[in-house]
Amino acid sequence: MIRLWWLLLLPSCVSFEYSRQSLNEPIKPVAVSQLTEKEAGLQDCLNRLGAPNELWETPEGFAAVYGWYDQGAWNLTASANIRSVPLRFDYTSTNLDLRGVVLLFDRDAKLLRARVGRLAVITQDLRKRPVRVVSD
Amino acid sequence: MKSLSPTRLAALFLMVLGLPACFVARQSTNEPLAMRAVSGLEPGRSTARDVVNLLGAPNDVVQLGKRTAYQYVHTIEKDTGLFLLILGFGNVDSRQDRVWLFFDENETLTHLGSTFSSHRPQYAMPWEDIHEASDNDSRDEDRREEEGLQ
Repeated sequence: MIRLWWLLLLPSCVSFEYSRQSLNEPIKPVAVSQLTEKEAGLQDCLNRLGAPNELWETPEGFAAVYGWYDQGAWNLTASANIRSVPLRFDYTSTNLDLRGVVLLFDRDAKLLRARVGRLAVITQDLRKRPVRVVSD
Repeated sequence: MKSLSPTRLAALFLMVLGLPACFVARQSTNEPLAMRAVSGLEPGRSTARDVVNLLGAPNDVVQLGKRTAYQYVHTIEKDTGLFLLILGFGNVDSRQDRVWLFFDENETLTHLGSTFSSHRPQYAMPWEDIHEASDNDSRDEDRREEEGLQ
C-alpha cells in the first residue's frame, strides 16, 4: 500500500496525453465533384456546401474557401533531475493538417473549377491583395 | 465497521485522486445568429440596409470586384479534459454558424449562403465520434424547435 504513494510523484516527471481537436465539419469530395460536373452557379454551391470560411478576390473573379480539421495527437513528456542536471524529453505527434475545398468562380459567379486537399497547398497561389476597383 | 481490503482501498484512492482532474469548458465567440432571421432575407429583394438592420454590423466585409460580401460568424467551442495521474485525454470541438451575403453594386442581395452548426459541438472524449449523422440530426431538430422553425 505504501508503494502507491510513489504514484503521486509520477505526474511530476512523466505524462502521456492524447488530445483531439476538431474544427468545423468535413465536406465530402463527392459533393464537390457533383458541382464541377454540372458547372454550377454560386447559389448552387452555397446551397450544397453551405457558407464558406473565407472569400478571396482572384484575377478571374473570386474564390470561396472551406476548411476543417479533425485530428488527434499524442504527447509524451518526461523530465528528471540527474545529479543536479535537469533533463526533459517532449514528443508531440501533432500534425495539424487543415483540409479544405476551394471553389473558383468567374466574375459572373459561375464555378470555373474546384480544388480539394491540404488548404495550405491548394490556396498557395491565391493569397494576393485585391485589385483596385475602377468605377464606370 | 468492516475495513476495506488493500485492493479496494487502492481503487478508491485512485478514483478520488482522479476526480479533481477533469474539466469541461465552453467558449462562445460573437453574437448568436438566428436561423429565422436569416431565412427572412430574400435574394433580389433584400438590401444591405435590410441585412444590417436585421443582423447588425457584419464581422467581415469583402470586396469582390463590383460585388460586396458580408460575413456573419458565431462560434461555439466545447473543451473536455481528463487527467489520471500520468495519463491525460483532451478534446476540443469547435463549430460555427456562418452566413455570407453577396450584394451587387446597387447593394441588393444576390446570393446567400448559410451554415448552422454552432449547436452541434459536444463534450466528448477524444476517441468518440463527434460527427455522427444521428447526433447532428437530433441536435438540428432541437434547434429548429427552439427557434420555432418546425
